[in-house]
Amino acid sequence: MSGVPSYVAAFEQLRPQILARLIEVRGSLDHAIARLSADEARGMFDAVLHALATLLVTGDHTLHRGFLHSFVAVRSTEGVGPDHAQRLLVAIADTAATLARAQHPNDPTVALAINHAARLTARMINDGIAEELERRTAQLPAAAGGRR
Amino acid sequence: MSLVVAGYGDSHVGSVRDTNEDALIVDGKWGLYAVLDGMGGASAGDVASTKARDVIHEYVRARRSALGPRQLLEAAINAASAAVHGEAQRRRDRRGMGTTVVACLIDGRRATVAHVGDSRAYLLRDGRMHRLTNDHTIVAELVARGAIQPDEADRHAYKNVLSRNLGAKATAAVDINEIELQAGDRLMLCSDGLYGYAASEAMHQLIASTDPAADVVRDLIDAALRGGGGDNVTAILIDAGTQLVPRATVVLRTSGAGAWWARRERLLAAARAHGIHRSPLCAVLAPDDAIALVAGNFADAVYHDLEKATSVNVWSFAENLAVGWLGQGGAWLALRELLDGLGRSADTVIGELRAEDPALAALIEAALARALVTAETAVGGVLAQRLRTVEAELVRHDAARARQPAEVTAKFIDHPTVPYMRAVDAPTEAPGPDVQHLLEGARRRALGRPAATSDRALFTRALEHAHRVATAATDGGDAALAARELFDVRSLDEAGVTPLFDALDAARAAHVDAVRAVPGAAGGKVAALRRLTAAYQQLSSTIASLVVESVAPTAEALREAAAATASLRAQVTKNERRVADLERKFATIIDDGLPAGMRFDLGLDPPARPRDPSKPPPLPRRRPSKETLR
Repeated sequence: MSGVPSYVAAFEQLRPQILARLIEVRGSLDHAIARLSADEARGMFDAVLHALATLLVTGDHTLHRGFLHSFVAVRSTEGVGPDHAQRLLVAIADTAATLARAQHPNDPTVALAINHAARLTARMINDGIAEELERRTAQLPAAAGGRR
Repeated sequence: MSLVVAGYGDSHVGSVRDTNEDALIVDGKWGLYAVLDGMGGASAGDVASTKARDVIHEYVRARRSALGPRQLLEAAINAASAAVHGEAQRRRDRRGMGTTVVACLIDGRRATVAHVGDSRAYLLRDGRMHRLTNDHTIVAELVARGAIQPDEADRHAYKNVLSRNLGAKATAAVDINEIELQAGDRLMLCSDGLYGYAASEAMHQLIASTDPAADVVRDLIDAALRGGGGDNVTAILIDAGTQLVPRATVVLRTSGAGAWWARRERLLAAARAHGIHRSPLCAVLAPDDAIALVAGNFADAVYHDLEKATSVNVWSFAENLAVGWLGQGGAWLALRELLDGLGRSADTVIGELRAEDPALAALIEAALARALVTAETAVGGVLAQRLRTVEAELVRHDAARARQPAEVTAKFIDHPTVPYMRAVDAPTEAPGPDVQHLLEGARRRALGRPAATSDRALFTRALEHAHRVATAATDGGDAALAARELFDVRSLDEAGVTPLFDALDAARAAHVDAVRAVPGAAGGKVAALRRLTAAYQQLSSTIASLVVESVAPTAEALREAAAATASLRAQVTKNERRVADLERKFATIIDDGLPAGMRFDLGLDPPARPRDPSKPPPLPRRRPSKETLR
């Protein structure tokens, strides 16, 4: 792990605890998650934590954007809007940051790294929504004129 | 060991209404807290909530030692329902009055929460907010049954129509929760005037702050009033034990907030250096005004959030900025750059502080990072709301276009098409180079051929998306994404959906033919065909699911409406019969007080004849009043 920041290793160590905590508090994260079974929720949380860990390790924005694109699309087929998906992801990161602060009270770098990842995540989703909004808005004149 | 529990509650008439129909109980001695939201014409809502409040309070005080908390609350609420119902029956001007209730009875560490209607209880534990009650509304029940999506519930026209209340019947179906309190827990009871007008994010931030209960209740009510205050607002906050405030939070609230405030001018200077005043959002402002307005408000919002250990002020700042800018057609990029500029300005200030006090700088940096996440989510909400509005507009146009009969071709269900709504055994690995090469060749060949459908653009998009899904290592995400993009925005009828399935069918046929035609090994072609088949099946299946999911709420609502209409018709018919019977009965009573010679034709109905069912039922003949006779 040489060359990898220490907060990455700390986050990896915390992952099982974060996952357990997320499953425990899933009812308060989002109304859509509250309906999931523990196993279903585990699968989804694990995928999100994996993506966060990958972002912390690689810093690869393109890869993270791809994950978010799929995540938001899959949530939309479940009736969850992009802003709700965004809040869900931020709530997951918040839970992770809270646990990191509790476990590493003298090392703020882990929680800070998670917060930065959360901000980047929220920003990328906003970029996606804005892009979609621009595309849809451009369709309006044609739609109003009766052409598809 | 029991906890020291203290509660505070307040109520406000709101910004629109003249009277406050909410009522509340805050009784620390008996551990009883309740919020009631009355309803009914004239002043009846006020009467219902006040009466129910008094009955519940009195009942609990009188029988506290005789019953367990659960039984006691249920019995008290039922007694209140009987009292309100009785009052409504006695007085014509109070018919139909009723009230909601959410009540909490605390006994040692145990909190018993009972509710009827849409007043709510929340629990804040370890920084997360849990809702303890499910609304008794028609819409909430539709959500629970899966008939509509949770997202739609907030925007549903009947979101406020209750399925249960106190007073409709002599007894009420009460939902009861029991929870074991922990030190630092916060319980909040409120009427819909709070959560209906204050954003849930803001409510969460305020309740999670370490402020005293009285301050939080005041801030919550202010948040609802800022959100429009269209209803009476009532909130009670109950603190269980002493809230354990982490040392870092205490430092932030005192030294952190102070240090930030002391560097306010430095932040404004940094904002100027980062060109905040040149942002398109500040185009109509003089540079000094722009810095004071944008960077100054940001600095103030951060200061207040540090002081209260919350994020609600930054959230409001960002939301107001987004609503104002995007609402006038402003571009996201400009807002994005402004937020980044503010973030960089804050970094400059923190960098300077770090040289003086690294520990404090680290704490403020963490708090600011969280505040900027909050700002992004606030903007995300505004962007998503605008997207929903534009999509609704597109669907409206599409539906209007689809209503033109000349454009309807044929029913898509009559066409042979790919099988959909089936589980797909999709390959999970990316294809090898040879198969990838084959698929690429097939894509080019298929795109170069004429399409067997009238919508060439849709055919091309279907083919490109299928190619993308077929060449990806898939976990379902690519297919879902592609299907969502293909589905686009369309009306949910034949004119909207037929062209899409036609295009998919035509693209599949062309794609398969192209694979067969391109040169390559037989094994590779089989693998390519398998991938393509799976891709088209995934696309069709997901699109079909989207159609079904989109239609389901409407279909369910129609079924509900039909059932409700039938039930109402039956009730009307029954009532009409009763009215006719009563008229007939009373018409036979001869008024002995009338002078001789003034007795009138009693107007008895002729013998009943079978009624023509196609005609509306006849109005009952009314007995003339005494005044008419005079």
